[in-house]
Amino acid sequence: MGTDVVWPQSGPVGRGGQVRVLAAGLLVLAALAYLVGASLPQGTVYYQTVAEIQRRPADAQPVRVAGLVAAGSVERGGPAGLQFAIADGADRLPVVYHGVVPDIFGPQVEVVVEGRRDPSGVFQAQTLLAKCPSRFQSAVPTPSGANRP
Amino acid sequence: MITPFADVGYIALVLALVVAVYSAVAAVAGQQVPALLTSAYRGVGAVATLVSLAVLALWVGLLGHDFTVRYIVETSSRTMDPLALISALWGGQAGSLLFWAWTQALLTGLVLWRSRARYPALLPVVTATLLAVQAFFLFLLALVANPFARVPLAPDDGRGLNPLLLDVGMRIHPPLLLTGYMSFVVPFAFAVAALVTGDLSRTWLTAVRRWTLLAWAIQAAGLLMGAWWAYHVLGWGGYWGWDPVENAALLPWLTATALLHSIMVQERRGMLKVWNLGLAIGTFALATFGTFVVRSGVISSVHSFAQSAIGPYFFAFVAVLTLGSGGLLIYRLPALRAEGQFDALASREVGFLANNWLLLAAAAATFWGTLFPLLSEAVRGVKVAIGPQFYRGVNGPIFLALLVLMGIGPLLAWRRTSRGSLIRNFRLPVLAAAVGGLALLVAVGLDRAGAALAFAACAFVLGAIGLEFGRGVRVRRRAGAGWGSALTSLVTTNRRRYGGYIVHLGIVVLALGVIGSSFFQQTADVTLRRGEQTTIGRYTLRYTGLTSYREPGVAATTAGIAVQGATPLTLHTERRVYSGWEQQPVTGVAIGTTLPWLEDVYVLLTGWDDAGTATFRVFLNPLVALVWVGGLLLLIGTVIAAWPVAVRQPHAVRRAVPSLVGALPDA
Repeated sequence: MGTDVVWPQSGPVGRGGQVRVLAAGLLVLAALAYLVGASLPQGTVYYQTVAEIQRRPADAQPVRVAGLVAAGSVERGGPAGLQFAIADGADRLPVVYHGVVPDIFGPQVEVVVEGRRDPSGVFQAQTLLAKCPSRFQSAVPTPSGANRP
Repeated sequence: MITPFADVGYIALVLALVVAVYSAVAAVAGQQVPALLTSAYRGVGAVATLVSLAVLALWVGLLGHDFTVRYIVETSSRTMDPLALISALWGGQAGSLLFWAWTQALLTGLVLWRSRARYPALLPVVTATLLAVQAFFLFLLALVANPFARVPLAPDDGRGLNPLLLDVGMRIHPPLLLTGYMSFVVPFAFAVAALVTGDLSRTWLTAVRRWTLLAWAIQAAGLLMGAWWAYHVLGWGGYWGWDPVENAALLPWLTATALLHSIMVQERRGMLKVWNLGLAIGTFALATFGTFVVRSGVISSVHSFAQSAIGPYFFAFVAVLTLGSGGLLIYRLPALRAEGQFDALASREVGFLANNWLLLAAAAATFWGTLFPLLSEAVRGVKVAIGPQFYRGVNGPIFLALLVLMGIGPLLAWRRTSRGSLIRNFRLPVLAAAVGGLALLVAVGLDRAGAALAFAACAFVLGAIGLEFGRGVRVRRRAGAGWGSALTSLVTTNRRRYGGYIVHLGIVVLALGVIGSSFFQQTADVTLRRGEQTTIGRYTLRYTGLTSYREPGVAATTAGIAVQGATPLTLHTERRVYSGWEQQPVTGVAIGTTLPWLEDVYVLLTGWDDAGTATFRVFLNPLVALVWVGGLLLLIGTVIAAWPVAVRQPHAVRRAVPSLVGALPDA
């Protein structure tokens, strides 16, 4: 046992062993930091409001936009795919989407689309998520509003 | 129908809270006064009985359609069958909390029954800790999220459970995960007991290891069932989406996996004591965090429940338990000196340490990714989402390294491994990896080198596990046993070690499935007229037509698909509309697993017109079947490793023959 105070979990380790173990640990830590640093930009998708996305020029990075499906804007089927508009207050964003439409999609449903705005101002969505505020408890508000915060 | 059961249930909850608080205090005081301790232990039985009564009351109300109770209105309806009504117990927030409280009450009873004689010195504090946690949940149930609260005006019918939850997988998966989350409380309680009493002996280690293994296995089963449900019901072609709620369930499982490994270093070398205590505490903190995430709606996710008032309470609870046990840990630091040291890098203990670092790195990255959107919005005011690319990018390489380490670790000797034995031990696995990797590289092409590398890692681990089994069997064969009996006796006489290897085998098989399906998935969206066909991979899919049918409470439209390949299959994918949930039709996925390639043809009916022309999304998912096979192997291995030691001849022998125990191999 060494005489000096040592960190209890590793113990009074002799020369080579401890240094090498510590070095290996730092290596793991460095690798983690690198992986996080390298993957975070790819994995991060920013949310923009309808107003924000219309103000900015068409972007290379995909973004997410959330809002309600505007009533009367939905056109299904055809080679053009699903077309609808997202309403966020008074702002509206036309969206085109090809792919599987979520079961709960419809007018006045809260949706999140991910994709890019093309030069003509239409949002080309790669993913379409429909959100139900309390999906697994109840899809319909209670008469008394009991379920809402 | 108005029943008094709701009142009975509520009274039972309040009484249970009172008894739990009393018994927790009595258990602590009982360390000096034996009579109080006896009464505290009886209190455990009383709490279990009272909470069971509350659960029974809610079930009676659900089965009897007592729509004066809000929870019953929100989670059930008259058209639901009895089994669905029973599973409505955990279909909503208050019920889930009640379910947690109930299983914890039963588990506390089990701990008392199994461990009272074995750990008399630890058990008062263990019991007090378990009861304190219990009291927190009972407090929430009695005062914040009461499952028996009435509605002012009873409707004729309830709103019913969400159709997505009507699947069998959903009846099993949430209770399993909730039970898993909950059971991490036992290792935590033993950690607190060790810190309070200062007893970190070998018996303490055995207790922590066993109860952690139980919780770990339940959580693993819950995760697997969740993946199964996502794959078979949600229809997005995958089984794991790095959703916040999935991450929350994975986190304690990762740290518990770390604990199960690092605890062997403490058993063998008396090292990593603080580390292990920290893992036991941290695992439960993460499990509580997980329950909080799942049940509070704080992070938006497909799983989110309604937001509610329980959030701040959970936050306070996690804070108290982390700070409290952290403080205890610091207080006990002087007593937690390591008895040994790391001698060399190529040693079993460093292998375990590296395993822990990697598991914790994966947990840290996952935790960060899960919380980052919350932090970003709170601190920078910028709303972001962290997608699967982040988790794949970080956890993919970490899991690959863990996989390789899983092959290396068991072949290393304790303290240090000589050069000669390194070469001897790694010759075969490295050869297997090289041959397997090269063969696959040729098969899949250079552009998918990542997949070939991952498959090579699997081959390496398979080689290492095979080597361990092979050596054991060879020794027994020399003693004159046949192949079958040699293998059986090898496993049955070293269940902990070989059970562990079977768990490792399960992980490799699961990894093969994950690699196959994430690197080689194919997708197509097709619109077909009746009789038309399309191809995906090596299969031809012919659309045979559309039919409709009606059953009580559900109307469905079914499309038939005939799959031509080495094994012809007939698939039916449908769209179901449940009465009361017309806005949310449910898509029934059709999945056929082909032989011999183990590819899943996964078909989804996405739309149709009056002429019978239908649109489908088709996935070809290679090797997904191996995910389920591997999961099953993992569970079987855990049962083999845990069962006999936990039930028969455990302690007396260990205590009587310590030298022999010291010589036993740990896996």
